[in-house]
Amino acid sequence: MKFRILAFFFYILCMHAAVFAQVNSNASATIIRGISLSRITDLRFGAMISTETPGTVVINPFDSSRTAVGGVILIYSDIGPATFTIMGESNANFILTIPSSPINISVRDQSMVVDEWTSSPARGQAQIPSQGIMQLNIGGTLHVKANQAWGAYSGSFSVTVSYP
Amino acid sequence: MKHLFFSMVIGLLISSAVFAQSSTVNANASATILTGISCAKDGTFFTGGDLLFGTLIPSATAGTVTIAAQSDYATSRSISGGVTGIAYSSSNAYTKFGPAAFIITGEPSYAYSLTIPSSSISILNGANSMVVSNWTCSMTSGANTMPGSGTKAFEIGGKLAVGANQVAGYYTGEFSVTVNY
Repeated sequence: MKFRILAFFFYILCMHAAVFAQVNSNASATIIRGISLSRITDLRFGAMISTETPGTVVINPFDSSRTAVGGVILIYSDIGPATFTIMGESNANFILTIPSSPINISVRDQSMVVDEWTSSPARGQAQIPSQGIMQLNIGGTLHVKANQAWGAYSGSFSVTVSYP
Repeated sequence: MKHLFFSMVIGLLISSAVFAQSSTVNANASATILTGISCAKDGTFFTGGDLLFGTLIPSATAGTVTIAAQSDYATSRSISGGVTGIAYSSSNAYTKFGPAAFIITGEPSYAYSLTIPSSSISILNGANSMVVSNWTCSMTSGANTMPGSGTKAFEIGGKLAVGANQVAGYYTGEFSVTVNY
């Protein structure tokens, strides 16, 4: 009988140990750092001259270069992709959401379209490196109409990072 | 019971972490369309925008005629050597002399570059020629900034070499200036 009681306590101790172990595994989940995104620079297509022929200007997020196709003349100026800092848990996967549809950038009653968004890293699932911090670059394509009116055009877009 | 309480605290920590699971930031996209830059002869200037050395009389001695790059065309001509300049007369358009005049139009306050001739040109009358060189400009060539008005006027002068007993006739030639952003 004495032996059976001991065995019973042992059984209870084992259960408690099991519960405790489960609690510990939950505790490891609480130390995940929240993911944060902060903007460093805006997407800058820079200065250009329109002509009687439409054209496009592309900002490449990988090498930060600017290229033009068609009747748009590029002028030396401050250009580059939008850049951001992503901070989060080392090696954690996250989902990057960048614009998937065109936006208008405008001045006065004039507008131009920005679309074909590209990014480094690519949209969708990505991984935070072991340092817990990484840079995000976003580029796109600007459509300049024939004889596009002069002015400083701007518009807004949003970017989201989230844990899956 | 103690363990149960602990796991409740853990549960609260987990739910507070959910709020930092996502982060959204807005950014701007921008582009600037500039007014195209252009440079044209100032047709309203005394010379009609062209560089005019006027009417000259050669001699057995060679000489030079220099037009200064200045808006005061009346005092712009200086002569040395065996050449005589005929004074301007409103009844004879060929006696007009003065610098070339141009107007640049472009984006206000924007940087641009002006290129003027750097080498000599020949002005011709049939098989005969004279050389124009030593180009001068009333503004700094090279890097410039467009005034807030978006326009900038300037003059260009040069030096004409007249040969000994230079053959009579009407001599013309062309030179070009370039502006770009």
